[in-house]
Amino acid sequence: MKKTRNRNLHRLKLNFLHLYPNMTSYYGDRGNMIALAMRARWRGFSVDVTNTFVGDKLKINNADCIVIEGGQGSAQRKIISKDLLQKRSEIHYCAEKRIPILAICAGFQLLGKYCLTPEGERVQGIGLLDVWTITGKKRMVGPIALEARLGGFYKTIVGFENHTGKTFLGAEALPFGKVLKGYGNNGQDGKEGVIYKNVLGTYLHGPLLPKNPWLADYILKKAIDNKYPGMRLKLLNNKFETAAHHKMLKKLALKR
Amino acid sequence: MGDRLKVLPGLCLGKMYISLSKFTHFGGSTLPGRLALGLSPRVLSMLASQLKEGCILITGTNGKTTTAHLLAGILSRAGKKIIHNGSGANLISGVTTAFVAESSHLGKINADLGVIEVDEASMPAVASRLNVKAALVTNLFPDQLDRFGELEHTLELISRGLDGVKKEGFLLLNADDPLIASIKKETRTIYYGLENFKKSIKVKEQAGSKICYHCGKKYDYLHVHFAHLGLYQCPGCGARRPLPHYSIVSCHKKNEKNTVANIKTPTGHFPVSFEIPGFYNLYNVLAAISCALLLGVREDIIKASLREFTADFGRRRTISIGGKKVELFLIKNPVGANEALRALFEGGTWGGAAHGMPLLLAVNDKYADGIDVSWLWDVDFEALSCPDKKIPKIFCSGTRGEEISLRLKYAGIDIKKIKHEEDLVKAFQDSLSCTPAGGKLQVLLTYTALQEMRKIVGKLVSAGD
Repeated sequence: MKKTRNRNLHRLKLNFLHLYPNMTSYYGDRGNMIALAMRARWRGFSVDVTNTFVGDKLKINNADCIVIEGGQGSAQRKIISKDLLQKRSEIHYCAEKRIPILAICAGFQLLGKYCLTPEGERVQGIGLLDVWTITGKKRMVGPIALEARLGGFYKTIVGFENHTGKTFLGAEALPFGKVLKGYGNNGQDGKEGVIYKNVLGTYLHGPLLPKNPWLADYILKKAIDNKYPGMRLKLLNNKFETAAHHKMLKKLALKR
Repeated sequence: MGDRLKVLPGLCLGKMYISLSKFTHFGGSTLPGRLALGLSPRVLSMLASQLKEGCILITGTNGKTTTAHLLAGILSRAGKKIIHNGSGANLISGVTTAFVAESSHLGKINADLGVIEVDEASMPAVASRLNVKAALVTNLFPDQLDRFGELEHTLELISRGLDGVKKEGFLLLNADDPLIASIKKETRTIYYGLENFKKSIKVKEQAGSKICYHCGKKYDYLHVHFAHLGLYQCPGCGARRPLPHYSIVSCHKKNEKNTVANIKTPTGHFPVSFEIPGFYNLYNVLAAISCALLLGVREDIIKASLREFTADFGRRRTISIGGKKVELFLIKNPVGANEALRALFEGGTWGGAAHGMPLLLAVNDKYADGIDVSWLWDVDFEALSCPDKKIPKIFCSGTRGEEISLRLKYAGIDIKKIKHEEDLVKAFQDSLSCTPAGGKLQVLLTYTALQEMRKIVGKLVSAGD
């Protein structure tokens, strides 16, 4: 009995597309890719990560999950904008097929409609998310905590934000979470990130997923639901993850 | 003289504080300067203006302390009287302290030349107050972005500081760093860099950017030395490594400690030998030598000075405690940490330690460390998970010990080997008792953790005497 299950596990596979790695490995954002891959491996999946750089073709055949990193500084944002516009139709197609997409910081901004730079220049987004960004004067930097609803449960999410862009949501757009401490999308409306279908855009570095294992599993579950409907996610020991999570809450004086 | 009178109050206050701190053993590498500047804002520019030959500024993310020490050593040997902020305090307050400490009570400076290490973000403020003869920029890596903002911004700050270099002076830039080499100024610019060694050093994919900052294309590298330093060319915009005027064309280990490097200058070749371990130190040695040559120091003086130099300061230090050795490494950003990890596994350095020696990692998130510890995820801790490097236990400590424990778990290290102990004193005792007699405990720490550790070790060493 056990043997058959093992053989089945062997066939399980998840394919990840990792957009713009290295370009942005300044904020530890590659930790998100590491977290997804490791948590899938610990559950017996074999994992394939395809790194996609500026100018590379986006290979969306059998992609199960997409991770888009930020980019830093306005020069890189412009480069990414130009590249994303060429990948626009593929990314829209994946989003409509409910493939989970995680986009951080500049990646989040550029899945939206546009970004206005301090000089008033308009950097075009791909318009997948109903959000737009205006670059402010103040740098919003520091640890941050949110409350977000994941699969029916309210969970805390912790991270580190560092941005001057102020992002605003359209009337219909759903925020990812409510800011408990920190700035969030714009430091004004108490909202952070955006959720559209299975696309999650957020400003949270830190990196986001290792310290919020429930969010990592939420994304994995979406990917698995598409490919292996009805399969349940094996529970993992989250002792280290929760300890790091609680340390952040404690730093923000949120721990009860 | 009138100028000097005006700044006397601040100077006196600073000097008083320095002599006071000598009695109380209360560290004073920045406070005297801050007090002096607070009372007499012009004290730094007044003192610096007395230097006959001006100042050499050394900035960049990694290697500025080592390079400054090397250069100060060479220049002293060449008979110059040097002012050098050797304590590593490199903000404007630290620089001022160094000058105040060297001046007489009447504000007179008896020195020829300043060798001043400057924090990247402090470049504009420091450069505008000093009489800058030359500036040396080592490299630019992501480091404490929460403090500096973004890399672009840091480059801009450095570049603004370089505007303060005198017309007849020079800039010495690292040709192998695409970001640094992209700095263009009207001042005479000299480049240094490492050539393509025959004995290539295998480099794993590292966290630094290998993407052209200007157009986003991946650089074509003929050779990567480490991180984004190497022989590069951008296929997109055509940016390429400038040909260095000073370079190391070959290098080999004479014995376990001694390295011999062949330096190429515009006028010829000469070999130097030194006992400074670590690949990244080749850049520091080369930078210091190039700068000394440009200042007219003779080759034989440089050689002699380097032979005497041993790197027992700054980011790497070995101490003996009760028959065991403890080696401390400062880690503060992905590139430095990757280099430290590489040094652990370098032939001989780890010695038998790869088999059976524990490791202690301490990460703090105080302001001086950088309050954001995200960068830990850009470090290749995966290197520690290699099964052939038998590390029995890894102790994790510091105010963010949980984060480093978590990072190790995701690097594929067996969680049974990871021991989290928030209290650094306890973590150190545990890891030391886990170290077999005659063995070496390797400790990697962030800046404020290193300061704590020095105190802990200091007590142990003096108690042992």
